Amino acid sequence: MIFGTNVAPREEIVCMKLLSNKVFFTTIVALLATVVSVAQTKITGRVVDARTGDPIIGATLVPTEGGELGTVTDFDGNFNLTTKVELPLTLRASYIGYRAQEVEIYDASEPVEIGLADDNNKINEVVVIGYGAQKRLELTSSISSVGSDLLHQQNTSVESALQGAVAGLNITQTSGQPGAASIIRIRGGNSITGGNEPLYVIDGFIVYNDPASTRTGASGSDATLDPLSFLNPADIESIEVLKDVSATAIYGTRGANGVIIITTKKGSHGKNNISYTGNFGWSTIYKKLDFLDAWQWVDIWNELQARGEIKDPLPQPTQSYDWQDEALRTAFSQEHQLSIVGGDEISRYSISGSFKDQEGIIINTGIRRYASRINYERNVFKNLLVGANVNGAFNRMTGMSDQSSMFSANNWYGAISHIPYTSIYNADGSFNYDPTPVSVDTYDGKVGNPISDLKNYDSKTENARILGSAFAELNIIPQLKLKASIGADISSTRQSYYAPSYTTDGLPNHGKASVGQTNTNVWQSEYTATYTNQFDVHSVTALVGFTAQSTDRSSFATTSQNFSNDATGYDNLGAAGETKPSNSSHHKSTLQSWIGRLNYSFDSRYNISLTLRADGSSRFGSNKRWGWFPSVGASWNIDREKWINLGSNVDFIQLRASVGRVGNQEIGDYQYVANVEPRTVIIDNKRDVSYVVTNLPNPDLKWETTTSYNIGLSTGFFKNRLTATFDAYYKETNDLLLNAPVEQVTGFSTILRNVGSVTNKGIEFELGVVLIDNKSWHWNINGNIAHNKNEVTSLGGADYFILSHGYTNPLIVKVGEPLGSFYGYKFKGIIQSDEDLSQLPTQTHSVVEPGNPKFEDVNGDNVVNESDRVVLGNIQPDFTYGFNTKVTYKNWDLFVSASGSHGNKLFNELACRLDRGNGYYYNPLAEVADRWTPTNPSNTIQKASTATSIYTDDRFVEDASYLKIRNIQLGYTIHTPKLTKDATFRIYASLQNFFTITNYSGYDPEANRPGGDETNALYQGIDNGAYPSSKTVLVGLNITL
Amino acid sequence: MISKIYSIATLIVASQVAISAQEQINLQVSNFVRPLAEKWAAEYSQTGANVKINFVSASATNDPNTISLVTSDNISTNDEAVYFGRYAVLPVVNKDSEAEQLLNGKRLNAKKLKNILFVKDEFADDDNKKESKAERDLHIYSGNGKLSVSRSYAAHFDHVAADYKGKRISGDDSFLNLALRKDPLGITINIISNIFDLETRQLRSELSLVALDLGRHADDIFDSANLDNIIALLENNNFDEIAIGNAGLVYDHNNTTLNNFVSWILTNGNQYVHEFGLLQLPQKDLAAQLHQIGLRGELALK
Repeated sequence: MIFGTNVAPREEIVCMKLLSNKVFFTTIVALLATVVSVAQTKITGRVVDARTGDPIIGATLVPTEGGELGTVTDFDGNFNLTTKVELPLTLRASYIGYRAQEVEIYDASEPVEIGLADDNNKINEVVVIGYGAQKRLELTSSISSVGSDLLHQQNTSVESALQGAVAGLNITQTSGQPGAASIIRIRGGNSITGGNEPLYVIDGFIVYNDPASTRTGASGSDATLDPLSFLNPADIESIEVLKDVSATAIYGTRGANGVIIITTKKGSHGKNNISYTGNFGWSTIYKKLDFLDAWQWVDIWNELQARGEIKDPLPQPTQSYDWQDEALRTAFSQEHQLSIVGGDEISRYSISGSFKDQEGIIINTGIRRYASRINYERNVFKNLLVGANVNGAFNRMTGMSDQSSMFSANNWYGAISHIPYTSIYNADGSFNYDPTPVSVDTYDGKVGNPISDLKNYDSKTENARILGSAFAELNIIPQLKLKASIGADISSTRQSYYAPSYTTDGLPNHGKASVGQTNTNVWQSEYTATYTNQFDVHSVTALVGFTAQSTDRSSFATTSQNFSNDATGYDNLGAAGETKPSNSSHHKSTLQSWIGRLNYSFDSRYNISLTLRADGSSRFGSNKRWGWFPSVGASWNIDREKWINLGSNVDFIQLRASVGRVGNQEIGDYQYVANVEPRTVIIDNKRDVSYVVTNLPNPDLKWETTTSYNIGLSTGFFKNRLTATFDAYYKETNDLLLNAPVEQVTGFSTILRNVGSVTNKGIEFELGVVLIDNKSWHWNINGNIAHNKNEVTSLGGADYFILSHGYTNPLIVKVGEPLGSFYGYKFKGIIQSDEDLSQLPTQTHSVVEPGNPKFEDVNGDNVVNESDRVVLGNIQPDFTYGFNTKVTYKNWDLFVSASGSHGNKLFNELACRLDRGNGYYYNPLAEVADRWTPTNPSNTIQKASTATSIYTDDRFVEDASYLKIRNIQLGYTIHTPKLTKDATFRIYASLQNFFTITNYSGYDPEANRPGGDETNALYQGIDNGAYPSSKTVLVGLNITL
Repeated sequence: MISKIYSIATLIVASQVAISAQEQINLQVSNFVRPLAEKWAAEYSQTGANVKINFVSASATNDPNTISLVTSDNISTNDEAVYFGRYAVLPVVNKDSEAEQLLNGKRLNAKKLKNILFVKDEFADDDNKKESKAERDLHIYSGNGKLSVSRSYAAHFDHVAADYKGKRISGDDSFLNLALRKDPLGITINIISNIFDLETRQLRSELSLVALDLGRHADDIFDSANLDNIIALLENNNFDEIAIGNAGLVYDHNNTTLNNFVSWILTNGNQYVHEFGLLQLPQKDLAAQLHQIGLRGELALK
């Protein structure tokens, strides 16, 4: 055996000397002498994040002596420093957001690895704002960032990532239909007839989340496809929610409803990774409702027959059929994403592609999405950066139909309310279309079968959308940046519907088809100049720019029926015997804007932001073409005052205030001009087309204006491990568009004018705590709570108007009340047999007799009629709240998120119709078994009756407060650096929407489907048989190499 | 002539065969284990194994014949180490320094040590609001290297190395002693083989152990400052104030040459760990390591 050595001579010297204590220090001295004799020392090394091991790019390393400038780390975190300072020397490593560290170097022969620890200092974060970015320390506005923990979970949609994430941001998932749109409000709704949805800015491109872009006018589709469904939530890097006017004024006529800035992921310089994410899920209905079984249902029938209200009795059934169960299934979902990100020193890229296939829990519903994204940036020259970003997706939503039997708002409603007496299938397994003695809507000796409807209706919404933009950024001088960007948002939606001739909608029409197409093309160009400089303690950032956006939307829809056969359906409308009048339309609008903003900070203590935007919109009347939207915001970082000693535990105290004015241009196109519409007329028994003027022109028609005030306090304690933010605001929206009365001599009764007013005032509180942060454990908690009070303060000359909705008309817009107020009778119980009927007021909508409900005679005129209806509550919550926490222990991580709403009401229209024993042609809810009879004096459920009238009363305006545990996710991550430097494998399991605490008796306290346009600001808060919500078990795998 | 050529060729081939038959082992160890490893190399050469043992630097690229030292606190989750011994890490100051005077008469428990050495955990340490003079004035020096025992000491207190206050010292932990020499208020933590003179078995003349609150018996042993007594104490007792880490070797377990050498270390080489300031593994742990390596050895031979 040979004992050899290959070590470098210097290392050998050091090592051998360690053998002998006597010569140890002699060796060190000799070593030092050797090093000292070198005139220049070269030190190499790497700076990394101490916890993650990721390289820190741009970290500064400076010898503490000698006055040298030092060096910075490259894209891999590596550095090379040549210094004249003699060894041993001390090197100071620093980087923003990390605690600076000093490292003493005695021997430069080996690379030095320096781990910097995060200083948990959120105030050093840079926050994305409109047309730029700003240090949180110098913010003057109320901006909330969606936590990265929330974004890194498996989110089914952009909206699901936002639920409960930010104080004052209220997301209502109105339907369990996969891919359906949500209602989003930031600090309440401002508009009565206009849009209330916030503005989205996706990678710099302004997107108004207009549901009209995914609707065509074709019939047969129950839910609107979420316009944001083209975005894969996994592609999102950050989301900022701009809430107050100082932040949103830069968006002028589109800032009134708040702004959500979404930034998608970009590549990393000097680091290349490929990653795969896949998950599989199984969903079931969260909650079923109980309905009468066949025997209970026959009891009602025979009770009515015994009273003479129905002619023939029914024999007792031998079997009960559960139509609700039959409509449901365990839905499977899968999603796969492959992404490649990386870059070199001058360019970076991010490419991803994904596929998602999510079944709905109701048969024959679901969504399928193919999405891809490319992001590329390159420094063509040192001072010129160019880049492009393209998001593209194709979505196909297979949904329920809004065409069903009788009163049912959709075919799910038709199924759950179908009588249990009728069999679903024939003995041979085929669907049963044969009428029974209780069948209604019989055509050609057949009846519709709701389960067959669900299975055989073909109702699809398909949307292809590409959102792309490109930019160039030129630094003329280091302080002045010029940026130009152009982009396009191309969306094409097709809706197709066919009801075969044996289905409920197809039977009377011998097959019915409807198709429609909407193309929406939006073009945007932006040119900005940003000057940033620091003069001693004075920091200035000035922005000026010009932007233009044009929208071109065209659509058509047509419906045909009387098909000779069901073979081709909507693919061949020519096979139809009858085509109904078709619709087509074309809208164009343009918006041109000048923007300007000046941010000034004195010593990072006093900050001020002045913003001005001028918007010229084609939607405004000729006399009001341009609107000016100014704001001013100021903040004071109290903790930086030397004369105030807040103690060592206080790191950050910032007081903010802002005031300004923004607008809402979502008032529709061509509202200010007289619109001429075609009408079909019959002259001499011949159909012809005439044109009529449908409205008076109003050249003064303009945007809705919101004046907003905000004060806020942002704080950080215990080295910013505890952060708290408080905001209070007041918003007054004037010039709301309403139809105001005019003199009859004009030929019209109303004219659209800017006359209404709404106020919103509220408070918000956000808290973030890092409870444990050590080597093995990390535990953080984030929570928020918000209160908003909404009030209609003016309706022009009117005091109120009642919204028309079916037979119930449950909504009123009234001065002094909030938007979404419910209006109806006050229920006083059931009239009992021993009551003196002569002492009760008469009731115009319900006969006064034992077993019937009695209502309060509010005005005391001894008659209960429409004049006795009162406001019964509203959809506005007293407060909304959200919570999430993440615990990591070594390789394990556990994430829990929850959100809730308290004090909001919901009109349970489903129960309003099904909670009474008057429906011999449908199946009531199970509690009707306990209805009033002479021997069962119920005081809540009225007696069985064939009376069909329904009306709104406070029994069905229910408390819809809820707390939902949105997500519980447990994951395990394995790092395998031997495979590649960043190689990680993560497996996780997730329970989504598994727990809901609520007193609401319907399927879901968030359900909000009036049976029409769910995004209409006026018709909110009606649960008319919405697609029920589901709970999901999800397992997934992430691989990063 | 031809026969001569054949003879020369035969000799060349034979010598090549002899050279190629000799196996090579590259040892990649940090300095605190280097003397022990050299002892192993020397002793292993006496066993007749036809192996050439090289010592390579930490920055040397991975060679399949490399055995690397790991400590229980820097091992990759993907690596399986075979542990051969343990090391103890203690706080130390310079003798007759201001730091020693500042701590004079105090016996520090784990909590006080934690407060002195690490950045304050604002939530966990809220009951200790007022900073002591020692916490305020002492200058902390900790090792910056991947194999620095400062990592083990931080982990013992459920911290990461980045949580240490003060300066980091790049390179070998022996430089920590040098840092103390320059700073009278300096305090550091180091492995006992760097604190004690391995020949005299006494404390290095320039150093002073920080008095710890270990209980009377242990305090007496530490006050006597005899390396062997301290090793014996630490092999049989655990103290919150003293970090004990495992020293192990990572290598390709399917490489028979490496496996044989590591087997020899566990069976024979570990008798030298005391001599070089390390602690023995507990018997059952050592047996487990042997069992593990034995199974692997069999598998490799198959």
